[in-house]
Amino acid sequence: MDEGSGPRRRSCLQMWTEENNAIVAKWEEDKKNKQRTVLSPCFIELSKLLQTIQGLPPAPASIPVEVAVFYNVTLFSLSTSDKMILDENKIINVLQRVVEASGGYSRNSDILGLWCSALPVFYDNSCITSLHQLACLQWALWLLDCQLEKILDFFCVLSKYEGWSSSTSERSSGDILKFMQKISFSADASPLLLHVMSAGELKDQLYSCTVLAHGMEILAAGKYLEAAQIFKEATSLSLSMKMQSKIFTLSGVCLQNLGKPQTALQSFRRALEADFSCLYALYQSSLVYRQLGMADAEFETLHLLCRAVSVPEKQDLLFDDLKLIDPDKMLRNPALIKMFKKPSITSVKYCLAQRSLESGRIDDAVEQYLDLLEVFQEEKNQEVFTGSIVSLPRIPEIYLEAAASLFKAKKFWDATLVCEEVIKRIASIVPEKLTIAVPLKDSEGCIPAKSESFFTQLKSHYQKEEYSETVQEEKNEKLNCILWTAAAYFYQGWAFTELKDTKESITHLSRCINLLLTVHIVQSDGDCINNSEMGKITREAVKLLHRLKGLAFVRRGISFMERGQEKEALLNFQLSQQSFPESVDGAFWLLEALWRFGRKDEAVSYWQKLQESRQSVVDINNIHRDTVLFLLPQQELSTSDLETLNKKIEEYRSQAKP
Amino acid sequence: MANRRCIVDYLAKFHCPLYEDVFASVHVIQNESFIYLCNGTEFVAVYSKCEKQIVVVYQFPGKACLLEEDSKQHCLFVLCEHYGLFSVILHLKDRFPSESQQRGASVDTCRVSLDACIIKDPTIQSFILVQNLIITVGQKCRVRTLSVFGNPQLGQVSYEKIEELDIPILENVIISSDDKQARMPPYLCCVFPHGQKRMPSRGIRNFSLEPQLFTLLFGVDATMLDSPVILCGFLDGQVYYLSLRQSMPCTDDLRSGNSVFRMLYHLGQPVRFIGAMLPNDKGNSTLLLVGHYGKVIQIKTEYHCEGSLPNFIERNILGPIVSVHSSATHIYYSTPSDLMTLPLSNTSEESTSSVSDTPATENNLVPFFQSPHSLNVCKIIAVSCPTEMQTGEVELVAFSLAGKLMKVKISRGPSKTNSSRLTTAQTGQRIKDLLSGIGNVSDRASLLKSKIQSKNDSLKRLNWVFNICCLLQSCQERKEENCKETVRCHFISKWDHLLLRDSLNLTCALENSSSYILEKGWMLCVEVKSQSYSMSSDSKHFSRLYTFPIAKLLPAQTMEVSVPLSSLNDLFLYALVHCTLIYNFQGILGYQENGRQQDQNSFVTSMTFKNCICLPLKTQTVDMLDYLRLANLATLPRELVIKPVTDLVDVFLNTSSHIIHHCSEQIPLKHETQFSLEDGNFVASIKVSTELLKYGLTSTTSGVTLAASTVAWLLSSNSEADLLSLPSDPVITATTPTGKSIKIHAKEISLNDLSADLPISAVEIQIESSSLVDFCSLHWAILQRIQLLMNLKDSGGGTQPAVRMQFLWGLLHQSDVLAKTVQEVRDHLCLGLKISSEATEKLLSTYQQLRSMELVIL
Repeated sequence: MDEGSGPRRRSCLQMWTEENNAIVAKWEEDKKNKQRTVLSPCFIELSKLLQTIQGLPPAPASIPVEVAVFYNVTLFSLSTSDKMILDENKIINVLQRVVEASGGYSRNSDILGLWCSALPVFYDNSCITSLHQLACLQWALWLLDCQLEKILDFFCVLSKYEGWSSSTSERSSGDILKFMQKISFSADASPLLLHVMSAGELKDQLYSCTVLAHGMEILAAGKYLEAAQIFKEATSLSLSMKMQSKIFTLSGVCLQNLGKPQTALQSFRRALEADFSCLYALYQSSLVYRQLGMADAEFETLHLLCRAVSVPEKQDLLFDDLKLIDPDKMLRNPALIKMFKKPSITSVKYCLAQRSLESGRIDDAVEQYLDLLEVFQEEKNQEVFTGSIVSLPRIPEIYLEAAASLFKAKKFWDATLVCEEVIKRIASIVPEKLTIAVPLKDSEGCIPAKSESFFTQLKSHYQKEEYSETVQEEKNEKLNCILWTAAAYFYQGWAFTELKDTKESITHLSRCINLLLTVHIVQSDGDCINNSEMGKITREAVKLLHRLKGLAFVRRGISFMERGQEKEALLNFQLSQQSFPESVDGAFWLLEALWRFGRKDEAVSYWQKLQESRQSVVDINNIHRDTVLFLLPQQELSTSDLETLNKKIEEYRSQAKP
Repeated sequence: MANRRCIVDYLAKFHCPLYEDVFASVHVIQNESFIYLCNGTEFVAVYSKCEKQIVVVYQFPGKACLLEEDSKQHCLFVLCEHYGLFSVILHLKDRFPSESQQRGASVDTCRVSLDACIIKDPTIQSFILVQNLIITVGQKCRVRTLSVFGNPQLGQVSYEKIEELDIPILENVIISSDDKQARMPPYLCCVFPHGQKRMPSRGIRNFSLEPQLFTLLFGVDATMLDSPVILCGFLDGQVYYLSLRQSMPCTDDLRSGNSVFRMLYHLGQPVRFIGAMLPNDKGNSTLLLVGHYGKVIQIKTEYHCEGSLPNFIERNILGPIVSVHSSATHIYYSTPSDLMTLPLSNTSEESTSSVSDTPATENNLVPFFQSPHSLNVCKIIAVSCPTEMQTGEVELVAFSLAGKLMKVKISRGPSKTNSSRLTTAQTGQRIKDLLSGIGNVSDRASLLKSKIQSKNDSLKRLNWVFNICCLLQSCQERKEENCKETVRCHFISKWDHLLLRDSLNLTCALENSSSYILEKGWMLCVEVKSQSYSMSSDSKHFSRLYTFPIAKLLPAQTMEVSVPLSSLNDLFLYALVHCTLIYNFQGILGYQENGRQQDQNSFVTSMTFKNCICLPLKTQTVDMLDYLRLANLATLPRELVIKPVTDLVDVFLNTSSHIIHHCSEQIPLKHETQFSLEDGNFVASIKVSTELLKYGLTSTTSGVTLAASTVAWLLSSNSEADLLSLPSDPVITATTPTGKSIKIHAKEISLNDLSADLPISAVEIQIESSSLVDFCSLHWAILQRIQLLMNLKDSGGGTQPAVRMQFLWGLLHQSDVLAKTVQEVRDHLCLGLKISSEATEKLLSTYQQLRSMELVIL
């Protein structure tokens, strides 16, 4: 490409141009015939052409052809590869060649610096089209790498060259976005060189993706109002249906957080109108309905979601495949990906089941839970789910919730079977004994501190052990196993009570209690556990342990009472009160037992004590509401029972007083 | 266990490319009837065990680096570098019946097109098949990604991405930039809890674990969901696991961490293998991790009162480990030198179950420390998963660095039968073993022997070289003539008429009159420095170096070499020829073969004699007298003689450089001067006293005049001199290489007026030539000879005759006049004026006058 070899160069450029055009035309032709297979050969041929061009030293006249071929090749490669990958080095190489063509030499390793030295070359040689093409590729690269900052920096530099005036010297990101929208990339594209996709078209897609990613960042930062504005502006862009639905969904999320549930619902509806596969919008609307207390609407939405998830996604092949660049794939923002991922069937089903159980639709809940358990055990089910926006709790808890729902539906046998499954699966890793340290700070619910000597002994024992977070985590997991197994025994025992088999019931409840008693709780003052999240989890678990213990004692007491073993019954009720003093059940049954066995004075004095601490009982009821679902407050104890007991004691007191 | 023996069958031979990390992309897998092999090239070969030959070879667009078979769908999945994952449907079953008839038929080759690429992703480094899923792990820059692909409809070839997850990279870990390591793919495998009815049948890297161990390692949730767990072992030593079905409770962010991946273990060295061992009715009871540098981790359940714990038992074997696989009880691994087997027996379990208070590791280590056994198969770079035969033998397929595909059959365990009960087959085997052992030893012995031999040879050679050096050194210190036993060389310049060209060659004869042998490694080096005729001051000095390797020069042998001195178009005034003996010390070590070849072919201008000894032999001047053509050339066609010899390449090279660099001033100057140079008649006379001459004419034959013998003496070094009937004639007419004739005429004169006492007898040598150039050089040559005589005389210490001063004064005056003339011309030149033809002529005449002075050389 010497200056001197004029005639030869011209023919070379012509040759290249013709070859490029021929390949692009071939592709276009086949695109019309809806053949996608031709893409790979086209890509290979064009790559060879690019190699030829880049084998020669760069010259100003060859820039447009080289960039055009590079642009085409890159777009082809983006579309042939399943994972869109752009190699920055290739862009750097082309930029360096552009700089070299003008006689300069750039060692700049920073790509933005390289662009700065390349930009004047483009403007001097009036290769604006080439500049736009290359800029598009660079933009796509940064977009794929989620480097919005770099995109903004780049356009800041470009805006200076374009002579775009801004009121402020420090350009805000909004200003630059405006510039990005305004700058036209389709200007004076040479008709002699064919492109697989015009730079202007690509730019529009890139722009919409950038806006979406930018908005998402602002949304994630909690600036809902600002984000909502960005999304609102974005709706005016010409977008694909998928992108539209995404933008509507996101603006719905903003509105929801801004406390405008009705507007948010409208936004979600529009999102679904644009693209029904945007299931996140559906799920979010169910949450809004729940927030608004519209249970019927909520369940309808959840059912719809459930059905939508079960239907395999059908891709519109003709529509999708022949597009070179799918803007959807350009969005690599992890938060966005997670948000718009199709939720798993399992998680949606669970969501429905859990909501049913929570809102007392027991029959629905039973149906859903059994369905879910079937899915778990089904051999053919090979669904992969690794966390989506709709999350699952721990699997044993789902089983226990299922057992609870069965119990409520009075299907006691089924409940015991479900519990058996839990016991069987976990049995192998349930420890024989467990010593667990609970932070001092929140000592309510713990056993009162024992004798000093014992405490110090344990303390020294624990100082020896390296007490790290992971150890605590392991201990928590073991505690969980104990709790799950104990809860399963508890349900079994209770079910046998309901089935009038008191002996079996006592056996199971004893197992439950024995298991719970293997846990030794010590108080630790280790700061690391005290303040950590882990400590909180431990505390919650220990609270649950005491509550379960209390409940188990009560149930065993009842069974003993039915068998007429009064002493044992009374002892159990007392133990229940000891381990879980806040229990209304425990208090009631203790009073009842005392009453029945004729120890009325004791009953009265205990009742008086209870009346004094009634305030706290109310509080405890509130706490009950948000504890784990599988230990729902038992409905068995009706208010009428309580009232009759109250009346009895009042009467006795009035009799006794005079 | 001590004598584990193995039988090796060679199945096929392949080309195995030799790059450093080839083992990273060599893989062998086998099923009941076929062996699949990728050998680090773009080919994947299928070997049929029944037909005992290669059946199909698939050619992929890029280097195949990992393969797996889906036996259910008869599919072979091949990972191809820079492309992605290919799926090839095997039609092997169909070809079975027909093929049995035509055994030995040619191998099918299938070129796999890009369309077979089901996952186009060049970043993929490794993959695994799990149920109906494909799981890939790739890395781009610092992002490691695990992708899950599934096919929605069974039987369809298209796969679509279900999940894409980023695998965490520890911040402080440097992802090795060392290319050698970077290409080692991550190891992927899949673990199921045992008891799942649908057992994994797809792929070899799927296995089950005891539910208890599974639960302990991967959590309750995975067990309860029967979730497959993917284990990924990376280069940086991290082993992550991913449960394919898991929940990420939002409330419990801490427990699940931020990632769905959790670390199982940090091996601290590249992970080579993950497998399971020691199966019982509940599944495998041990999970095994093997690192590249030999760290082996066994993970077992350890019983403890506070709940069972996974116990990580570590041991180290001698690495680096190239390829490894495990059977139920043994690990089979290959190091660069040997194929080894390491038993990890069940016995450890009994001791672990009784553990109560003592640290578990101590108890576990005892049975674990069984040492690996060598199987005596070397350079294995890939082993397949071993299969256990019903007979108790273990069979594995291995691929060696030399490209051999082999079947290694390992007989089971100890032969408890004593030697007397050995079966014939066993005895035969034993004898074979012994024989091969003897063979190995003798191989080694012969190797050592040859090494010693070569060292001795080297020493001998060194001794010779040293002797020769000493000899030449001492000869140079003494006078050359005095030593008889030495290495000498003689020069003769000769005209050769070859291919219608006349060229002047210098023949150099190297005579070994010493008692030593000049062997390989010695080189004769002839350097020719010539001073050409060029009118300009920056006249060219040609310097050319010729080296000739000496193959073997025995005592009293002579080696002759010829070097071109000149051709007609680049004649020179005189040439200095240096002859040197060079010894290259690499010759001693005996590995100079290639280098020598090159030296031989090209004459070395930029050769630097590194590691060499240089021994100068002789230096001689070659001038006009040496190459005058005395033969009568009139018979030859004139154009042949005169026509300048033109080597086309030379012409090309010279013209280009001449025209561009050697300025345009020179050419007109040449033209200007040439008119008088060629056609004048130049005469010069040199008078030499007889006394002086007698130093040179040592062998004067009687009956020959002094004049004639003078001429003979002058031409004594000329190769053509003996052709003529010299020395009867004191006049000789010769032809110069340019074709001009030149005349040398010697006559005896007596000079009376020079000396005061006696007339001095002298010989006047007169030369006549029509060409100034030839004239000059001949004159120079004769003077050169006489100068040599003077030197001899000085050393001989002859008597000086008294010289009349008056005569000398006269001569001095005469030369003063000439000097003035020259001065004038020079001044003229200094003023920057152009030399006129007048001035030139003046100079020429001055020159002539100088040449014909009456001066006598005494």
